[in-house]
This record gives sequence, C-alpha cells and structure tokens, in this order.
Amino acid sequence: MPLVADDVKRLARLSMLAVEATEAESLSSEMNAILGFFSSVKDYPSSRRNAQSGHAPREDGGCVRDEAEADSIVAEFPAGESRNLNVPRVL
Amino acid sequence: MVTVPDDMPPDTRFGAMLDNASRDNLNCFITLCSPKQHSREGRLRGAVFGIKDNLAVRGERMTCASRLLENYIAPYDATVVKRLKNSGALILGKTNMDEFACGSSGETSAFGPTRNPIFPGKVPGGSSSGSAASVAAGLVDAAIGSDTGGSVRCPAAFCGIEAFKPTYGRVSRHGLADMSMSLESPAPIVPAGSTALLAKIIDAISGYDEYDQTTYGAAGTECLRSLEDFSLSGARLSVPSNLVDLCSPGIRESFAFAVGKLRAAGAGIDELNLNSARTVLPAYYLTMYSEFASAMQRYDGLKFGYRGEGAGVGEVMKNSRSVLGAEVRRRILLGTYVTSVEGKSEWYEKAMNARAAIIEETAAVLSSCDLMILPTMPITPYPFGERLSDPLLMYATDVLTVLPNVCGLPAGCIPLGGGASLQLIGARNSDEKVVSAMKAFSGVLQNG
Repeated sequence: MPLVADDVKRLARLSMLAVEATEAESLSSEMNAILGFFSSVKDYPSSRRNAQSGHAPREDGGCVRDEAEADSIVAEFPAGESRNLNVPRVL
Repeated sequence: MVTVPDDMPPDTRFGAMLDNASRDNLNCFITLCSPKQHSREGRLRGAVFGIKDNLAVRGERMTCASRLLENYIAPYDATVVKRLKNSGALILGKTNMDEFACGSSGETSAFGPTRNPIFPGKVPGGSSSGSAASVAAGLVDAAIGSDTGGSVRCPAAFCGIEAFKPTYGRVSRHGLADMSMSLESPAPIVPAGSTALLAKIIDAISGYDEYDQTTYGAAGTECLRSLEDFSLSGARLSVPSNLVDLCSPGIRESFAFAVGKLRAAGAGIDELNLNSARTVLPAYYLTMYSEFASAMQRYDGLKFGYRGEGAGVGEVMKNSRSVLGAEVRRRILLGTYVTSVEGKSEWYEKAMNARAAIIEETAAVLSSCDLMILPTMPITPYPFGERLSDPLLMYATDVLTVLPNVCGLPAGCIPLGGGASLQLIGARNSDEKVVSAMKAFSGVLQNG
C-alpha cells in the first residue's frame, strides 16, 4: 500500500518531527518513489533467518533467559522502585 | 596557501599548518582545534590530522554538521582520536561533512558545502567531504572520516586520493556519532601514493576496545609490516561485471585501462556476475534507514544540543528537531516506517534476508580469489546542485561502495586520474592484504 499524507504525519509524530500538511503530501510521494526503487528486496522472504554478518559473536550463551539472572541485575540498580530504575528528571 | 616544510619541528609545523588552515577557502573545517598541542613520541609523531566532525575530540565542538549540535562540546576523545594522539598525531581541525553523514556529495552541511580542490565547481563527494578535501589540498597530512556506505571512499575518489574502510569491528566506533551501527567504521584518508602512511594509521587505530564490544576479539592490524607482501604476479582478481556495467562510459574506460595494466603485470582477471547486485543498494539503504532512525532518537534537545521552545516535553522535542535538514528528516521518516508494525515484514525483515544472501554470495566469490576489484564511483565528480533535489539520483551513486559495508569487508581505493578511482575489496579480516595490494596496484598504475 503506498504511503499517503496521513501516514507521513503519523510517522512524523512517532519520530518527533514537525511536518506541515503540504510537506506531508510531497514527502509521501518522495518516500513512495524511494521505496519503489528499493522494491527488489520484496523477492526475499520475511521469515527469520540467521542474518549473521560476521560481527562479534557472543560466547556467553546469548541473552538473559533466567529470571534469577534478571533479578541479580535489578539488585544492582543504584536506585529503583519495583523493577524500575530511577533516573533524574530533566524537565 | 603557504607550503609547510616537512622537516620543521612537529609543534612548529603544526602551528604553520593551523595558520594555513585558518585561511582555507574550501570550507574544509567546521572548527579549528586548539593550537596548544604537543606531539608525543610514536609512530605518527608530528602527523597532522583532520577529524570528521562526527567523531569526538575532547574539549572541541562536535556538530555533525548540524545546527542541532552547533554548540555541543565533546567531553571525551573517541577511541580512534585517543589512539592517534597516543601515537604522536596532532589534531588540526574538525572537518566538514554532510549533516549527520546523510549524503554522498558534501552539499548538505548546515555550515555550507565543501569545495573540491582538484575539480573546481564539482562536488568533493561525501559524507566525509571536508576530510577528503583537506587532505587533497595539503591542509592536513591525513584525515579520519567515517564510512557507512562509502563515505570515505566516495570523497577520496572525487578528490583524487586514497582511503580505506577497515573490516567492520576492527576499529572502534566509540566516540563516533553513529549513523548506522552495523554498517559503519571510522576510516582513514591519505594523499595519493601515501599507502605507507595509511598503513601506519590503520595499525595505530585498530584493535579491541573495551568501550565498543563489536570489536570483541579484534586483533590490531599489521599493515605496515605486510605492506610489500602483495604480488600482482599470479594474483586472482574478480571483477563483478554487472556492477561495472552501471558506470559511465568514461569510468568504464578508465577501469578497463587499469585492468589491462594489472593483467600485463601478471594478475589473472575473472569476470563474473554478482547475482545479488540488484539488491545490494536496497539492502543497504533499508538497513541504514532503520538504524539511523533509532540512532537519531537521542537528539531531542532535552539533555544536550539545541533546545527548541515548547509548552511540554513533546513540543520541546519536536521543536528541537525542527532544525534538522531535509535529507536527515527524510531518512528518519523512512526508517520509522520500515521498522513499524505495518512496514517491517514488508521491508526490514526482507532487507535483512537480502543482506544475508549478499554476504553469503560475496564470501563465496572472495574465497576463490585474492580480491574483488571494481570502480569506486560510477561517475566522475559532478556540478553542485545536480543531484541534490532528487534523493534517488544521489543514492544511486552509492551502488558500488555499499557492498563492503553490507558485508563488513575491508575496502580501499586508489585514484586513476580524471576523477576515476579503483576500489579493492578483500575477504573479512584481510585488511593487511588489501592495503598491500593498494601499494602494489599504485606502483603499476601510476608508473606503467
């Protein structure tokens, strides 16, 4: 489905960008043209495969899976409430 | 510009070069660094560098060529900068670039475009435009840029000099304002015929950095020690003909002439078609948009950078980001879309699978040859404004440079004259071989 101006406005809200109504119209055309130019990737499936690009391999067995391990990380928070980390207010 | 002798004491020479750079009319520099620097002992003692303005130099502005960071001062040195300083290098200035590295021409900086010292009236290439132009103009001995999809190789090609993008993960990205974290690397740029200097720089900046875990397990390079190792006699060089066919007639002619010389020097040339060539540019851009949109979220005006006015947090963030340029905004929107719920299975996931296929095919090609060679850019430098208004025209110029970034491979380029340049791509972690080949190729192509 090609993007329309309302899609661009929604994307702008998500990405914290200000986009005027007239700009949204021209941006939708541009973005559709760009995505059309890149449409050759659509020949590929979207199901997961191991897209290993040879970057640094993990040697520690992967991500945190054990709830107890997560608990030990939460216990290290300098300040927190429940399982939330306290951060300074900026505004 | 006054010619600065090489045999001056390092600190004196640095002062003279800083004085030269203050009169630069090419707009290579956004900031000239403190004159109060002293060269330490080391393999790069006295070498004067330009540093792309998306790499942190402690106490100096780091703008990424954007109004959003116009007054941001870096609180620490990027690892590459620290390693250069520890090797005796001096940092002359923060070089101009396309805003947040979004560009291939050097035209989108919020501080004005950089001019090409070799081809007046033509773009210097990007996004490391000021880095390349300052090297080509002799304002610095070398420069460090960042290469996400060709951003050192493109301006090096357009300015008639050499550059090298290391294997992904061999040079730390700590202190680099990331554009696309799985594609990019800090990368050196040197004058033509200065491959020995290039080798010293790579050796100085490469290797594991505890602040960047994507360098885990990375060994430092030994490019200088291996510099003379590559022999053209008996070397197997693969040429992806279907990518070469995308080039202008002038570029194809330069490339064919160079290939002829390499063949005469004893190299075997294998022409092949890279099946994944049609998807390499889409896979690159869709990956880059996604990662860029994520990387740019931190620039919201709340903790650093330009802060816009507003009644609440949302308005402040939006108004802070209102100073971003058109190309930056376009890429953020595209990245947000291709990773959204409705877009990701149609675009992002397919791009990841396309990337995996490209990596497999390229690795297979490189397992049966010494190097892949092709032109660096499909066209020679073009006039300012010619491609700026049409993003697709701009993106198309990256078609030959993005392959090494998509695959994480080392890639160097050497000039062929007339704005043409030859690109060498090696297998993963064959950085020493690629740099040695650059020296060997230069010897044949510039003396033959």
